[in-house]
Amino acid sequence: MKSVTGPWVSGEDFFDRENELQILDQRVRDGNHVLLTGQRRMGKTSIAMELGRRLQADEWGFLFADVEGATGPEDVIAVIAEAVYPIRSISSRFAKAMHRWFTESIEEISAYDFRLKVRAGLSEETWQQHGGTLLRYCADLANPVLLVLDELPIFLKRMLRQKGGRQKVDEFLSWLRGLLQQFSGGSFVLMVSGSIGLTPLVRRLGISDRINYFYPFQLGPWNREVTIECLNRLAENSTVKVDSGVANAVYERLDTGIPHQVQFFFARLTDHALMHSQDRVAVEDVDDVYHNDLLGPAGQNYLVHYESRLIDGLGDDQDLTIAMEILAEASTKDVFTLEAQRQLGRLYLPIVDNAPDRISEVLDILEHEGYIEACGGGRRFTSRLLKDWWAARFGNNHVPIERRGPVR
Amino acid sequence: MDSVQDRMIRKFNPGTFQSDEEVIRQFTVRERELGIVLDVLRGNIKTPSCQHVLMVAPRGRGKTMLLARVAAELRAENELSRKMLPVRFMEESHEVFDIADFWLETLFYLSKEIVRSDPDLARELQTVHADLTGQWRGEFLAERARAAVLDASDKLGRKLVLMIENMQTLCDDVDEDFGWQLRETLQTEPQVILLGTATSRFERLDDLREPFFGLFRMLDLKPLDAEACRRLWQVVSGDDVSERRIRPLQILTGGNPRLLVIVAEFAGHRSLRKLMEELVSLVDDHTEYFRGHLEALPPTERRVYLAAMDLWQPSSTSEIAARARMDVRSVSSLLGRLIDRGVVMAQGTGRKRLYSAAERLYSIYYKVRRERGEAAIVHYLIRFMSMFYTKQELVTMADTFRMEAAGFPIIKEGLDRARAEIPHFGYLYDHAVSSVAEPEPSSMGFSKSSLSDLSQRQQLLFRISPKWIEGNILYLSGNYDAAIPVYASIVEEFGRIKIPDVEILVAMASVSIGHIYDRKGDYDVAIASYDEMIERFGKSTEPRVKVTVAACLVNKGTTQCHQGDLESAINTIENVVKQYETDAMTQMREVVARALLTLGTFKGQLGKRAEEIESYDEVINRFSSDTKDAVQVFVANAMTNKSVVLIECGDFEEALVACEAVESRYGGTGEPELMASVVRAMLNVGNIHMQKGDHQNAIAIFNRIVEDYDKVESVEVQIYITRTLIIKTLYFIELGKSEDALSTCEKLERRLQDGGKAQNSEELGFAWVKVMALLLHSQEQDALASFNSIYHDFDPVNEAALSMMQSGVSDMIVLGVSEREVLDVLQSDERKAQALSPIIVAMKMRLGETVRAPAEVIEVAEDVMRTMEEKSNRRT
Ligand SMILES: Nc1ncnc2c1ncn2[C@@H]1O[C@H](COP(=O)(O)OP(=O)(O)OP(=O)(O)O)[C@@H](O)[C@H]1O
Ligand SMILES: [Mg+2]
Repeated sequence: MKSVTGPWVSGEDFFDRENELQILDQRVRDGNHVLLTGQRRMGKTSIAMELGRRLQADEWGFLFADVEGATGPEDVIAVIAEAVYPIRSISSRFAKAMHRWFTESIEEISAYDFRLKVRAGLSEETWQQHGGTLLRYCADLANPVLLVLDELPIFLKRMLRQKGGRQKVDEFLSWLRGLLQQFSGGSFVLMVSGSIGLTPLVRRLGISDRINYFYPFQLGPWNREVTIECLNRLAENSTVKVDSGVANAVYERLDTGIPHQVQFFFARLTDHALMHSQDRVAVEDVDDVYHNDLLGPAGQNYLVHYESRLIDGLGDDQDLTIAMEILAEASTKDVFTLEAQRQLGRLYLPIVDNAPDRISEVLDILEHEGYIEACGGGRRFTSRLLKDWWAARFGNNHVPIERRGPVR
Repeated sequence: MDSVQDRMIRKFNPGTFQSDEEVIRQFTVRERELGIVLDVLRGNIKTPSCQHVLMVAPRGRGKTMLLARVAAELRAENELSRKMLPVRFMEESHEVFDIADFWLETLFYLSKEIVRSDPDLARELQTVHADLTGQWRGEFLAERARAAVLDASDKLGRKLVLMIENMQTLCDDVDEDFGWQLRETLQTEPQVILLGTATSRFERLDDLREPFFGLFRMLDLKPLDAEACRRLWQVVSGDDVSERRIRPLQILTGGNPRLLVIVAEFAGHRSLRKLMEELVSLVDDHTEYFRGHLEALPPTERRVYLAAMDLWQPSSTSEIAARARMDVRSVSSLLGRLIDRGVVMAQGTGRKRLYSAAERLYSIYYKVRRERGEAAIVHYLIRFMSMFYTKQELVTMADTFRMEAAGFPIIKEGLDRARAEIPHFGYLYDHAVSSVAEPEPSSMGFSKSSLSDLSQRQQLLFRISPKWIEGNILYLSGNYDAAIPVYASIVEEFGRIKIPDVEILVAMASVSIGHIYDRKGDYDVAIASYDEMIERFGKSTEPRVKVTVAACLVNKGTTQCHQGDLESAINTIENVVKQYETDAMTQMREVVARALLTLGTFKGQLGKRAEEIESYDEVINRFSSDTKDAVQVFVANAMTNKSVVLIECGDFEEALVACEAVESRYGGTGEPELMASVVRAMLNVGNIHMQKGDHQNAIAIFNRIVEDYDKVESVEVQIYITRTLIIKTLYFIELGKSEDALSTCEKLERRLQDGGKAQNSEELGFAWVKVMALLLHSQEQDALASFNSIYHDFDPVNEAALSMMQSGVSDMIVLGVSEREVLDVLQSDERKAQALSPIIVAMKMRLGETVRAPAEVIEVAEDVMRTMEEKSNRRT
C-alpha cells in the first residue's frame, strides 16, 4: 500500500472499509439501487471502484461513469457508453443501433472516440430513447451489471442552472426511475454517489419521490483503530521510518478518520522528514506538522473557509447568531449538550420567534454542512482541527450557556 | 564552466530557450523537492488513477525552475521518460476560458513538445489544432480536442504530464464548469497527469464545494535553508562562504532563490561588509525588476501593497487601511487578492490576522527609494547585520580585542599615520625637502643636468615646495577638502615639467589626491586619479617616480579592496609584485614587501587561509635578510599576521613559534615601528597562552609588556599597552577574579586620565571592561550606571561602538545583569534603539514578551538570542 493523496484508490492502495463493502455488496447482490453519500474526500469514489473491482472478479459487469463534467443528459449517456465500450457485445450492438454515426468499425476507435461518436448522435429529442436502449442492452447481459454514476448531484445542480433546468432535472430523474423499474431480477443495479446531497436537492424541487427507490448509504470516517492501522500500514511501506507512536499522535490530532485527511497528514509527515533530512518521522513531528502545515497558513484557508461558508449558508442574521453560539459552545466545552440546547432556546425566546425550532434547524444545517455531528450527550465538532481553530478564533469571549441570563 | 556567463543562473523563465543540460546544471537547490515529484510520477506509471501535484510557493521560490528540471528529466534517457512526456504551458499564456480552450492549449503545446522527436505526429497535431481553432466554437470542440490529445498520448505510448503555472489565475478566469470538467479527466483518465504551480494556497483548494478540494498532492516550496543558500551562492558567485556569512543574505532575501541569485551576481567578490553597504545600489540596479512588479498590479491593489511594504512589519487590516488612507472593507478584500497573487502573506487568524509583503527586499527597496527618514531603520538593520555576521559566532568583548590587537592596519597617529598611509611619504618627503634645501644634483637623478638646468630646477623647487608643504599640512590636519585643490594645483602647474625632482613631487601630489578621495570614501574618484597618475608616470624611468608608481598601484589595490572588489584588488597587487620584484632598489623592496603583506590580508578576507599564509611566508623568506628597518617592519608584521591565522586555525603551537620568533628577533630594536610589531607579537603570545588555559604565563607576558615598553615614546606602542591592560582585565573577568579585574581596570583608568594615548576604541573598550568588572564584583548598580553612560555616548554609526554593543550586551547577560534594566536603557533613546533593534527584540523575546517587528529583524534577533543562550551555556 503506497501513500496516495488525491485520486481514488483501489486494490493494493485501498484500505479496509470491509464492513461497508460487505453491506454494499449485499445490497447490490440483492438488486437494490444504492445512493452513496458522504462528505467530500471520504472515499466514495474509491469504495465504489473497489466494490466494482471485487464484483468483476465474481463475473459481474462493472460500469463506472463519472458525470461531474456533463452538461446535459446526452453527456451522461455518452459517458456511460464510454464505460460500456470494453464490453464488446454491447458496444458493437449499440453502435449498430446508432449506425448513422459509426463509419469505422468500433475496433478501430478508442473508448473515448466511442463516447464522442455516441455523444454526436444524441440530441434533446433522442437521448431518452438511445439511453434506454443502451441500459437495456446492459440489463440483457447474461451476467449482472453494476453501474455507478459518480457525482450525479454535481451534474444535476449544473443542469438546474440552465434555462428550464428544474424540468430537465425532473425529466432526467423520472426517466431513470422509469427505466430502472423495467429491469427486474437484479440484473442491473445502479449506484449513485456524490458529496452534495441529492436528497435536499430533490426535496427543494418537490420531487422527492423520484429517488425514493434508492437504498441510502452514508459513508463515514474510519474509526480510531482503523485509522491507526492504516497509518501503520502506510508507515510499513514508506521509505522513511516512522516511529511507533506517530499513528496514535496523528489520530489524537485529527480526532476523526476522514481517509483523505489521514493520507494527507501522512504525506506531509514524510515530506517533512525528507525536507529536513531526517530518516524517520518522530512523534514530535506530528505536532510540528499539525501546527505549521495544517493549522498554519496553508491550513488556515480551509478553516477560514468554514467561517465564510457559514455566513453565506445561513444568510439570516439571527440564524447566524445562533450558529455562532452553538459552535462557540461546542468548541470550548467539547460538546453542545441537549441541556445547553434547551437553555439556549430559553435564552433566545424573547428575541427570536420559535427559538427552539430555529435552533434545531440551525443544528441540522450545521450537521449537514459538516461542522458538527451527533455524539453521546449532544453534538460535537466533526474535526478536532476545526474545533481547535474555532475555539482560538471565537472562544475567547464565550460565556458558557448554562451560566448566562436571558438575552436582551 | 568557470566563465561568468556559464555561472549565470536564469532568474526569470528558467527553461525557456534553455537546453536541458543547462537546466540540469543550474539546478543546484531543491533536490529533495525534485525527488518527491519524481517519486509521485514514478508511482503514476502503472496506476489507473494518477496523483496530481500542485507546487505552492510565492514568487521567486523556484517553482518554474523545478518544473523545468522535471521536464528535463522527462526528456532525458531514463525509465520515467519512456513512460511520460512533459507538456509545458507557457507561463503567461492563459488564454483559457473554458474546457475547450484548455484542451486546445494542451494540443498546441503537445505538438510543440514533440516537434523534434516525432515531426510527423507534431504536424498532424498542428493541423488538427488549426482545424479546431478555425471552427469557432464548433460542436463538441472540447471533446474533440481532448480526443486528439488522448489519441496522441496513445500513439506516443506515454502519459502526458501537463505543466501549468499559476493555477489560481487559470481557475479565476474560466467559466463555472471548468473545474469539474477538468477534474473528470484527472479522475478518470490515467493518461493525463497535472503538475501545477500556484503562488499561494488559493481558497478554492480548501473549499469543500470546489472541484479541486483535496485533489492535489501538495508540495510547498519552503524558503531555502542556510545550507541551500550557501550552495546556490557558491554556484553563482563562485565564492565558498560559511553558513554564518550566508545568514544575513538568507535573511534579507528570505531564502528566495531568485533574490539570492540577483544578490549573488551583484556581489562579485565583495566582502560581506561591502556587499551589505552596497545593497542599496543593488536595489537601484534592479529598480526595473522591482518597479515592474509593482506596475503589474492594478492601482488600488498597488496602493494597499505599498502600504503593507511601508509598514514593513506584519500589520493588521486596519493599520494597512490607515496607512493607505482607504476604508477597511475594501482593503480587506484587496488583501485577499494580493494573497492570491502571492505578493502578500498572512499570518494568524481572525482579528489577529496580520499581513506583510511576501517577498523580502521589496520593503527595503521601497523604503530606501522613498528616502524618507524611515529608511534609516533599514540602514541601521543592514549595518547591524554586517557587523554581527562578520564576527565569529560567539565573540566576546575579549575576542574583539584579541582580534583587533592582531589585526591590520596598524594604528598610527599624526605624522606616523601619514607615513604609513602615503607609502614612502617619509622617505620622499625628506628627500624632496632636503633637495630643496640643498640644491645639488640628486644622487638618484640624472646627473647630466647642466648649470642652467640647475638654476631652473632650483627655481621650480622653490615655487613648488610651499604648495607641497601646504597640502601636507592641510591633509595632516584632516582638512581634506582644502588639501585636494592644493595638490591639484601642483599637478596642473608643474605637470609638464620633465625635471626629475619636480616630477617626483607632481607624482606624489597626484597619489595624495587619490589617497584623500579614498579616505573620503569616494572610491571611484580615488581609483580614477590613481589611474591617471599611473597613466602619466607609468613609463617613467626615473627610479623615484617608479617607486611612487608602484606605491600608487598598491594604494589602488587597497582602494579596490575598500570598494569590496577583492578580485580586482588581488589582481592589482599581484601585478605590482610581478612587475617590481626584481628591482633591487631598497625603496622598491619596501613597496614589494608591503604589497605581499597586503596581498596576504586580502586573501584572508576571502577566507583563503592557505594562500594568506603563503603570502606572509613570501614576505618572510624574501626580506628576512634585508638590512633596512623599514623593510623589517613588514617581515615582523608578516610573522605576527601569520601567527594570527594560525591561532584562528587552532594551531597554537605553530602560532607560538611564529610570535616568539618576532620577539627574539626584534626584541632589542630601538626602532619604534619595529617595537610596536614586537609588542603586538607578545600580546599574541599572551593570547595563545590564555587560550591554552595557561593563565600564569599569559599574565606574566602581559606584565612584561607593560614593564618593558611603558616608557617608550611611540604612540603605537602606547596604544598596544593600553590594549594589553584591557585584555588582561577581560581575562581576569573570564577567570572570575573580580578583585584583580577591578584593580587592573583602575590602573587603566589612571593611564587614560593621565592622557595615555588611546583611540576611540580603547576608550570604549575600557568603558565596557569597567562595566564587566563591576558586574563581576556584584556592583550591579554601578555597572548599570557605567553602561548607561556608554549608551549615552553611543554613536549608532560608529562601527566599533556597535560591534562592542553587540558582544557587550550578551556578555553582561552572561554575568547575570538584570535584563529588564538593560532593556530599559537600550530603549531610552529612539534613534539608538532603532540601531539596536535586533538586540532589543531578542531581549524582549527572552523576557517572554510578544514582539511585532519586520520578519528580517525577528530573524536576526533570533540569532542574537541564540548567541546569548549559547554564551550563557558555555559559561556554566
Ligand atoms: N479506502 C481507502 N484507503 C486508503 N485511502 C483512501 C481510501 N479512501 C479514500 N482514501 C483517500 O482519500 C482520497 C480521496 O478518495 P476518493 O476520491 O475516493 O474520495 P471521494 O469521497 O470520492 O471524494 P470527492 O467527494 O472529492 O469525490 C484518496 O486519494 C485517498 O487519499
Ligand atoms: Mg469522488
